[in-house]
Amino acid sequence: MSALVRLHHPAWTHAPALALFLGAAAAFLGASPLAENVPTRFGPGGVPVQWGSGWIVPLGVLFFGGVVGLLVGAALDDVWARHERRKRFNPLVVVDELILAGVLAVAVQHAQALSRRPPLMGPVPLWVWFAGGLAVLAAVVIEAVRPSENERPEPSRPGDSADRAAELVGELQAAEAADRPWLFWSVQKPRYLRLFPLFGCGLIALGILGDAPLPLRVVVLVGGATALVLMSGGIRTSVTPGGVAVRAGLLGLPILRLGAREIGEAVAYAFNPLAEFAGYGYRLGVGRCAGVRAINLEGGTGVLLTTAKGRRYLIGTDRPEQMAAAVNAARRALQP
Amino acid sequence: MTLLLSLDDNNSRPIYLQLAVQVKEQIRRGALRPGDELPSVRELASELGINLHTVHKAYQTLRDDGVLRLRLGRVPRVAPLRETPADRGEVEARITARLSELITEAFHLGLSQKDFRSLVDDLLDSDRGGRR
Repeated sequence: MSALVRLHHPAWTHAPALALFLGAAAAFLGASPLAENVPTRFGPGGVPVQWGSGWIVPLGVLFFGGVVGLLVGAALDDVWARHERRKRFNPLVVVDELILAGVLAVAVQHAQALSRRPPLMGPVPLWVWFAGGLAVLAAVVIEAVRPSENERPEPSRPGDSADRAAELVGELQAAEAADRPWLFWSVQKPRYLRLFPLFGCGLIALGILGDAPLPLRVVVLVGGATALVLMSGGIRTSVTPGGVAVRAGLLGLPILRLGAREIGEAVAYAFNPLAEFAGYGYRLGVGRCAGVRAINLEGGTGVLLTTAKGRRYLIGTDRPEQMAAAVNAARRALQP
Repeated sequence: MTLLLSLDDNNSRPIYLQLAVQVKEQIRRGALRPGDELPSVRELASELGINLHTVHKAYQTLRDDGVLRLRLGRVPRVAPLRETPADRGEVEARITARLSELITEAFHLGLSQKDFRSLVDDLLDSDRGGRR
């Protein structure tokens, strides 16, 4: 996996989750042979509408649940590791173990229910609870000893050096002096946003073609349209002598607009999106960032704007020094 | 991705050309890379307080020069950089004539050929995004 995607955390930290995945697979093999003709798909009201091999549902649960659990866990741990300035305990490290433990419990229940052998013990055997707990404990211990690759100064960002920011300040000052209109433009459109149109179209198709009750279909349709229009397109931040505006989605709906007069301070800021804002999007901060509203879709750098009234906004960008220079130029333009 | 554009009313160049030149320059410097999105015509016109048609004309110029990809209903994107140099005719039409004007300008400013060469060399050396 490390060869395919450059991981910022060691892959062996997922060993407990992988062990649970293998445990679930072993539970199937142990329960074999399974019943041959069982309900595999259910319609409204839980009525079976399709029958098939006893392996279909448990294998589906195992592979989708297991693979999704591992991928989600790896993605969360990697975002955490990528943005930690120094080693910090990541409480999200147990996410994949919890998902995999759930998958294991479901797998064992299915296997027992469909097995031609007598059940080992109750609905969820004691060893499943034990294995799940042990895996979570192991994940916590592994996280405590995990090395961090960020125990060294942050590498400089190409294109955002102090030189380039100083050059930009010079260009902006020249524009100010000549009273010329200017625009600083920054876009955040990470690759994962490409999934939202697919997700939105899938939900719209489900809303139109699905056989669920009408109110539920309407909710699914609205959810799909929202994912399609609002969540794709990324965020665009424009800084002009008039102030800062942040727009989102395909239609460019304004989500933040601050006049240059309203801004008291603008500084480049580095943060941990998972630890301090619980992820990406429009977020409220905790800890050091308590009270800060963040608008960030990728990375752990941005510009912290403090308004004259004391409100704080963090706008994500991969060129924080340059954006801060542009905001400060807009503020300076107001001074007599 | 970031972009800085500014307009100069005192510049003899029309506004659409000022925009086009600045976009090209930011690609050369590496501030804009192939595939980067530019503001839509409407967004750029509204932020800079200029006419939609002016921005549209700037983007069309950039598209005609192979710098921008414009597709109906989609945001403009920086096109991939040309991998092979342009043919002699295009270089003649777009570079040589302008360079000749600059040499004439340098002559009337009293610069020697050596001064002019060192000026060009200095500019190329200070360039961060240019081809080597």
